[in-house]
Amino acid sequence: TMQRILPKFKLTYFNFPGRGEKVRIAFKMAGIEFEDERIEFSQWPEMKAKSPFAQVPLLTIDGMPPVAQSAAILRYVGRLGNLYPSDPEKALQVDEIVGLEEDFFQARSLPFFIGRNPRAYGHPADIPNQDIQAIQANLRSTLVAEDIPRFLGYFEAKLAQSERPAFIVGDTPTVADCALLASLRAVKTGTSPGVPPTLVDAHPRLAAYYARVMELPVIRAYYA
Amino acid sequence: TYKLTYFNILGSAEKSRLAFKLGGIAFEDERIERSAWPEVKLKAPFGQVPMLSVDGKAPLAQSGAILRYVGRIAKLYPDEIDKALEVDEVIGLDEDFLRCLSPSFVIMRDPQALGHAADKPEEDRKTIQANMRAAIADDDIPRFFRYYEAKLATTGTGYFVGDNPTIADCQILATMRMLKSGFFEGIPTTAADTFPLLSAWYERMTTIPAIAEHCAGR
Repeated sequence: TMQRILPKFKLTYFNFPGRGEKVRIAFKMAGIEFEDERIEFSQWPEMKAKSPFAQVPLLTIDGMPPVAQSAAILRYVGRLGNLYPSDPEKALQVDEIVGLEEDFFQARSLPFFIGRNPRAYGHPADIPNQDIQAIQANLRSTLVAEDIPRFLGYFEAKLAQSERPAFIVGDTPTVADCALLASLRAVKTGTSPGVPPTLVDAHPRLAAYYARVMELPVIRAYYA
Repeated sequence: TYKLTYFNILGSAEKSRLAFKLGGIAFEDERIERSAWPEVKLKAPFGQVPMLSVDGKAPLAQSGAILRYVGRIAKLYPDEIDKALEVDEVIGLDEDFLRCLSPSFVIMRDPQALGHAADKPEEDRKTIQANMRAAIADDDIPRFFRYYEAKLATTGTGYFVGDNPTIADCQILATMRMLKSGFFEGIPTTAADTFPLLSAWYERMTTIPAIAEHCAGR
């Protein structure tokens, strides 16, 4: 068999999961080597000036100008690593989950985004810190009571479509699993303030799925 | 057979309608009234539209997923992975732009979701919306439209990626149609006019016969 010669990959993102984690997971699942460059917030202004669209994550391929957009990078790694079906109907199911996970990420990140840029959400630019914190606390209660369980319920329902679900779509891992794992892990490890890690446990198929995927050798090694 | 279900607005279904038309693929363009929504919601996967039903099977949701499906069957989504990456990057950028607009819609129908009082008077919501849209017109519009202009310049073919239209063009065309129709109230419908390549691209896209026909029918 001919060994594929791959370019050198560098993924640049902050040193937390956020939007970059699903890509890191994809590289690991695909067994593709990459430089996992993690930058500090203090480095961000300089990085921002050099990045094409003032955003991270960025993928640098063989030192070429970097590419942005986490979902674009995820799909690229997926195509290289056999994690993204080319059959249109299979891909549609994978993309549906990838899109849902993005919505889930947005929903649970909203309190953080409002705190970072209150004006964009219709609040005065000079809103006192304690008012922002009160708003965030309220929004987080609603997240915990309603939105997060709703999204987890969607993924649970997807798993329920198979009698013995192996992965979130079909029998082999896809980029949908990479995205979903990143989100589940964020909830499970308490990276969202005020969100109890136990929320996933109320969904038995999802809890079992999470345990299974975390036990995959490459994933277990990554998070060891 | 393909059935695409959404409200009778441009919104997040338009990019897929454009892709079907551009690809010359027949589809049922089902548009539901707002009054029908509660009933449709019960049948919608994950309680959302747009949704796509292929050959009468259970519908799937997520506008980005649907766009890519149509792109695959219509040959508007390159197989070549470097080109696909470019397409996905452009689509993602435009999704970020639309996300900037999202709070200014939400404030009107569900202010509580953004941390405002649930009973905020309509007049106050309108004022806040106007301020938000003014800020978007001042900051986000020039920022993103400069990216689009630069991308068109780099690609140099008159389309966003490669030699022919792709779903990246469909994505941005839908956004531009919304802008120019006044869907983003408070943002000048002429906001793209100061960008020469973007303006030429819009003209090029909307004079493609299948697209021109679709836009006229709307």
